[in-house]
Amino acid sequence: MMNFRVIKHSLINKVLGPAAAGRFHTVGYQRQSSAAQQNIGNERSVQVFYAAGEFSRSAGRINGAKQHEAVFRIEMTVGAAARVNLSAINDPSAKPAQIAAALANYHNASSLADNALDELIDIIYGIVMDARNVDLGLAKGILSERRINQVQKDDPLPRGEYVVLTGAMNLSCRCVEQPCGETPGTGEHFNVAVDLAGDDTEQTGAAGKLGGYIKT
Amino acid sequence: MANLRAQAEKDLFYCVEKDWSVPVVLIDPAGNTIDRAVGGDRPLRGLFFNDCLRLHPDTGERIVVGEPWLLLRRKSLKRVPEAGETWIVKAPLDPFADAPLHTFLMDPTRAPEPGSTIGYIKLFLRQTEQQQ
Repeated sequence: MMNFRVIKHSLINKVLGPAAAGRFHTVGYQRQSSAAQQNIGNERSVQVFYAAGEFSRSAGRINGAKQHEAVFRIEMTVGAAARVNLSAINDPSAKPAQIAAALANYHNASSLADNALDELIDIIYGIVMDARNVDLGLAKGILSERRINQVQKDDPLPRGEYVVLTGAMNLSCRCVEQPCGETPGTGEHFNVAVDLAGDDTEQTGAAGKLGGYIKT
Repeated sequence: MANLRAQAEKDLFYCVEKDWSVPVVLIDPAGNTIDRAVGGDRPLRGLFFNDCLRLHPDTGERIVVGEPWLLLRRKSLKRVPEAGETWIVKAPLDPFADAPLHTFLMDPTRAPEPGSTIGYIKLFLRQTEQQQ
């Protein structure tokens, strides 16, 4: 297996997964779509996947190991509803002044989503760049460098009952890839003999291996 | 002959508050509950829709989110919501006559869309959760 796959597996299962501690949930692949409700509160999601890679040219080396600058994309999605004292508002005996006070003290969803994403960026950066995770949970020698070189925060979705905010980080890792080569299969056996009943002169070649020869 | 816009505004009553309407309750920023139309002779009713949107955020992933919105006739309201105000809106999620009312918020971060040309107002609603 190429090392970028080993790194990805370790990043998801040994680094982000255990460190989540109920503060977010990690998805190790790209989803087709998700519902806004799936990303509310501490269900905010972190999608991690291999996004791109560069193989630098090694002078004097045609074959053998190559340096791989692998880029992993960490995409974050948070959602928020408005927070208000529903107990006061839905209390049939509440007076208008009490309801007005509850309305005046509500927390709007846009600012909750903004704070939630800032907090998630803080958490993810802290986990990935922690000195104890310098090897991203792997044995020494696989990874020579890891860094988060970009963080991007997007505009909130313009519509919807929940405010949804997304962001992304690019995590660059440098590792060495040693091509293992693919072992060819033994080939599929097929029968090219034509057996016409009672007619020995029409028989053609005997069965052989794919890519081999037909004996006539 | 009546001005056509005035006639259209009168016709709004039949469009917005008759066959397709649902009962709604509004609570204004002062805490006053509005559950009857102006005149008090009938409950406040409006057109409530719960659209589903599939939006593409900048990450490239598609997000599915509901968009509940309410259409009201301005002349039926004792007080008309303005942009920048915070109102509570209670509307049923199911189309049945006895469906319970769900509590939404109309908040300043998404302004209402006025249709004052023919007398309606469109309110975009936010889901709510209990404050800790």
